Amino acid sequence: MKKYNQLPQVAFSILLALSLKERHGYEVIKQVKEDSNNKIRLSPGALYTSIKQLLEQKLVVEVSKNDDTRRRYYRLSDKGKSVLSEELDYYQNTIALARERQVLEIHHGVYC
Amino acid sequence: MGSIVKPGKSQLYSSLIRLYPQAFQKQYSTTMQQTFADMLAAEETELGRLSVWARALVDLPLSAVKEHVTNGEDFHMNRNTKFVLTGSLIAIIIVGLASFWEGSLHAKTSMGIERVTAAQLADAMQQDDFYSTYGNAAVLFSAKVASVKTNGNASLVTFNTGRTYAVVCQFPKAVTYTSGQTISIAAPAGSAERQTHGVLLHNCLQN
Repeated sequence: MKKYNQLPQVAFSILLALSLKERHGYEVIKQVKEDSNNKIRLSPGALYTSIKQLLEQKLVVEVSKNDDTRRRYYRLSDKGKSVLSEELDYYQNTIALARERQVLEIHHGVYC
Repeated sequence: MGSIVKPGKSQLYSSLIRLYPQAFQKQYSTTMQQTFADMLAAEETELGRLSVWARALVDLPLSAVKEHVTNGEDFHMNRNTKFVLTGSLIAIIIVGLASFWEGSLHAKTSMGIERVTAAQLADAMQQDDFYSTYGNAAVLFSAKVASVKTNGNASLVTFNTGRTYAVVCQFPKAVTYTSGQTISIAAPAGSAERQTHGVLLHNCLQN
């Protein structure tokens, strides 16, 4: 069975932000903030150290934009899509399990 | 009131990026600065920009340390590490204070509102330092009306300056001021024109 390596939260959020379209750094920050209901507010340091790792792992690729040399654009690679999909499956299964065990019902009463 | 923390590029932020390993700086310095500038530009209030700065001041040293560690550079968890971390914290405080100073200076010289006298405006134009002093500011001043000329829907009002150079305001509407009346004016200084013996301020508003 393929080993499952859970992504760090910031990396997961960046991949999710890039799942819709290619984006530059500030657009990623905005999308992550929106996706997390303002709970994750990235600054450039955290963003680019994570993006560097994601590039090294070949989960994202840089997109060349000749008309905007000061910004770098990124998109999900095929491997990135696959890893994101795997991660979402994991969360989906976890939520299903939590529902089955009525964990969410007990704490929030709105998820079942 | 001008903004305390300016939007746009910051020398201080680019200085902080030097905390990162050189290879990282080479790769990401420009885009990090641009992203930070985008974040500041998106904030409409001073408080919002302060919040961006505050998060960046925490984020930068921490992610820089993380980057040093993950790159396996000479960065061991010993006294040196404590020294670097302490240095970073001191840098954060210095940079935080400096950013306020920089923002205040900027507000005065670049984006702010300058309270001046008509004589100061006249002197600045006569001494050829009008644009360097006020070029990016809106000027506020009170002065006595010397004369008013109205042509259609616009008026030119000349103010007493007590100098050989006059200050003339162009109002984009007809005004009914009278000679000797003191009025307060706000005008963008950047679009001012040099006259033979004075300065012509366009788009003046009564403050």
